[in-house]
Amino acid sequence: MYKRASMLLASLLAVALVPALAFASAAADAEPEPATAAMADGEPQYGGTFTYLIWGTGDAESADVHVDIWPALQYVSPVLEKLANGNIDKYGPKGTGEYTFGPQPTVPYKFVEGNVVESWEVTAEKATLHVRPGVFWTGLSVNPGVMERREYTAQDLATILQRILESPRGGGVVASDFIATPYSESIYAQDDYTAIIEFKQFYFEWWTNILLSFEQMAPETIAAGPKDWHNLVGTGPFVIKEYVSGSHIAYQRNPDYWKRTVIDGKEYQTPFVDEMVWPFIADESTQIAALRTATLDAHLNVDVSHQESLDRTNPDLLKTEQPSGDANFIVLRADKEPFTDVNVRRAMMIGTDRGAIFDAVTGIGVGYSWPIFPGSTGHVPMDDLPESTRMLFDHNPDLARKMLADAGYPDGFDLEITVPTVELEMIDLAEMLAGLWEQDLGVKLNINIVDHNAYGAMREQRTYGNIIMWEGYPLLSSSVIDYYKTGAYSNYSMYSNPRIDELAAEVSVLSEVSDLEPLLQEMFTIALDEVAIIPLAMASQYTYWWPWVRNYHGERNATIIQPPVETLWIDQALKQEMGY
Amino acid sequence: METGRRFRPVEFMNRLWREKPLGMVGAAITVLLLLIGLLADLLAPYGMNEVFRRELLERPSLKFWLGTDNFGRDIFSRIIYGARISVVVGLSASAIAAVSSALIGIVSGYVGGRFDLWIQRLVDAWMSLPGLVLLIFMISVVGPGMLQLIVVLGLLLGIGGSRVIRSAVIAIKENEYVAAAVAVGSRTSELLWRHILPNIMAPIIVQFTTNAPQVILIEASLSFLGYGIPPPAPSWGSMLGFNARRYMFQAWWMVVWPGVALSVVVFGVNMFGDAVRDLLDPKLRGGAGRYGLRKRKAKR
Repeated sequence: MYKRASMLLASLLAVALVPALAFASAAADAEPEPATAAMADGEPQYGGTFTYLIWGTGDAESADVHVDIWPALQYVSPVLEKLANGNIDKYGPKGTGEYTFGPQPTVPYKFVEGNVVESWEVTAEKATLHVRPGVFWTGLSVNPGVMERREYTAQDLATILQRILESPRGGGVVASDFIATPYSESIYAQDDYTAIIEFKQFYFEWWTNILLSFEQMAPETIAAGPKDWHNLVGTGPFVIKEYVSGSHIAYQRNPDYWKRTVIDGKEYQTPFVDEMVWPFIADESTQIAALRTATLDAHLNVDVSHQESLDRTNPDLLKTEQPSGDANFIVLRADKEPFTDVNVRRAMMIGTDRGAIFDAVTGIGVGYSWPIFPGSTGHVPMDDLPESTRMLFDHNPDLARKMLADAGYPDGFDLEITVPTVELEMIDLAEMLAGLWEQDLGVKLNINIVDHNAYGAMREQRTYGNIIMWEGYPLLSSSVIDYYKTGAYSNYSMYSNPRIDELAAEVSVLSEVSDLEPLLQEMFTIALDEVAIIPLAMASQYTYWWPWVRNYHGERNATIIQPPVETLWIDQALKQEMGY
Repeated sequence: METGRRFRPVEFMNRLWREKPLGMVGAAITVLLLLIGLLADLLAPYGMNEVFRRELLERPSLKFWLGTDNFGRDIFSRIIYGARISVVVGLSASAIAAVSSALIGIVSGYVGGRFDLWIQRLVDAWMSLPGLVLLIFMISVVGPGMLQLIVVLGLLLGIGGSRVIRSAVIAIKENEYVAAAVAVGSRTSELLWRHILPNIMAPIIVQFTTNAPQVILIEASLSFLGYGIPPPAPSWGSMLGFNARRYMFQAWWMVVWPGVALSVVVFGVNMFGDAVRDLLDPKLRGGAGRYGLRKRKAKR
């Protein structure tokens, strides 16, 4: 009897232990403390090692970013430069603050400045690019004898651009709808410092595909074997020190870098740090642990979910919050019932509690960023929208139900939404949406979670049901064309409006921003008003860094997927003083 | 297993009560699970997907007994509805497993010879594949969903379990009454139905009861990994998934209560299954089990 009783007791104790442990851990909860304010940067210092990472990282089998983009693209940036870049010093957090230079994958044209190309002229027929004199291929590679140090020329530019356009990557870019093959084979060097690109067809965002897209890799590296990290030679502030598969990539300072920076009226040779290390840490928890213990000096892509605990356990860490650049949205099939009726689509948007979704899933970010991001040409501020469009953003379930009833759906309907397995945020959004739509509109939403590859195929072939969840980058003005023009590559809603098509054709050949703005704004308003897509929100990400990383304010030079590594420095005395 | 003797439920329950009290606790938990699953609509205070949009991550309170999740849904209601999923998946997949293992085992064991050899090599091959990987692969192919999960789990466990049934059939078919039935001209189907099947009910029931907690755990594991019942259905596994882990330091109740529910149910159904096996398996009955030892000492 005693044994039976003790067995029962032990079982009950075992079951009770789990919540007891959880209660105990919950008792450790405390209110987060804010991060310390930014410190004065002081006198620039040379030397030290900067260890950082951005995205979840892993091995890049090939360094040939003209062909295999990911994840190599993020590792080559300190070595291989682009033709132009965003002017962080002038417009970023330490300048006018007009642009955050956050994780967004592009920069609006007005914040772009020359890099290895110092200036350019563009007409509807051609772009003339003026190569900056005094830019040199370093000649420094891990494998000896790849090339000697020599000046970067317009011939190099033409050779590289031609190679990229002939590569699968270039093919992919050219195939996307908005670019419409603007290049011909006539990319050539007029002289050592002038390259000409003759357009087959001008496109208003030519600069993003030419100036901000292509990494300048030495032709000698291409000849020696561009896949090998140890053959890599560029013109950038750093050279490859070593690439250790499964471990890290290390860079060392290019002592002869062409760029100078002016700090407090004094000119300095850049870069300041001697070495940089990007460790390959795939696991997110391990990345955060590395940041906490100062194994990382900076982490430029911290998920919102870690913010509270990081602020609590490491109050010395500095941080910025920036919109991620990719906005989640719900694509309604405008060619399928019930969404062929624009009033049903409008009712769905009016009946969608975007605020609740934002609070529950996204947490922080930008609520109104679609189809063109604030600050980009063509964006219409909410207050300037017509009333009929503005009302779409006010959650009004009663009106939405009435509109559905008027359209012949008094009891709602059943829908299927397709989401990919790996996109956890999209699954969350769909789950929240299912609850809200059932409650507010009587619409029953079945979530069809499919394998990522199958999802991609369904999206491209338009074989999904009524709705698909997706995300897009509204940073470029062309997103309004890409998602709403009849037959466009990313027009997943199969929406069609002759006025948008007409405006898209007009916009494509204009080069003056002042001419573009009203046409893009009209497209913006029509696109929102007819609700082929219900925009949700653009989440934010955090950048965290330790205070000894100086002359840095959380910016990321978006077009090259890096912090401004040439101008930051490490305050080694402070690091030591802080016990690291 | 106890073969060659018909299964009598009332007698069995009496023995369970007398000889296996922990098994009886398990039976009570199993019955409770069944009742909660059946009466979820009456018992749950809120709908399983009802969103309280201003009450995200609420602590347990009088309004929300077990708190709310990150979408503002009542965890208590979702656990109650989750019991329905566990019941449906657990019972259905175990039933499919029992039927498929009986079919394969009876045919293979009775026919014997080269046919049996081939069938058993196929079963060997099937059993050599790692279960979870195989499941994830099959679910990836057929897509996530309750029906798919039930069928895939049922077949997965059924094919492996057919070996036990085959062994029992081989033992039964050597009995004289089977030879007598053959001698008087019974058709094979009649013989299998009237003489073999009733005598292998005990191992089939044992398999059913031991498979049920396994199925519940596998369903929870798959849902935890995102391959099980698609959201927003409140599977306990998916309730323990990404968001529970993401918010576990802010909202411990998101991870604790589904975990407790799962632990208690698997514990209960396992205890019940073990007791059933102990009572129906002649090798364990009164022999190796600790109760058996105690009984033997008492008899001395």
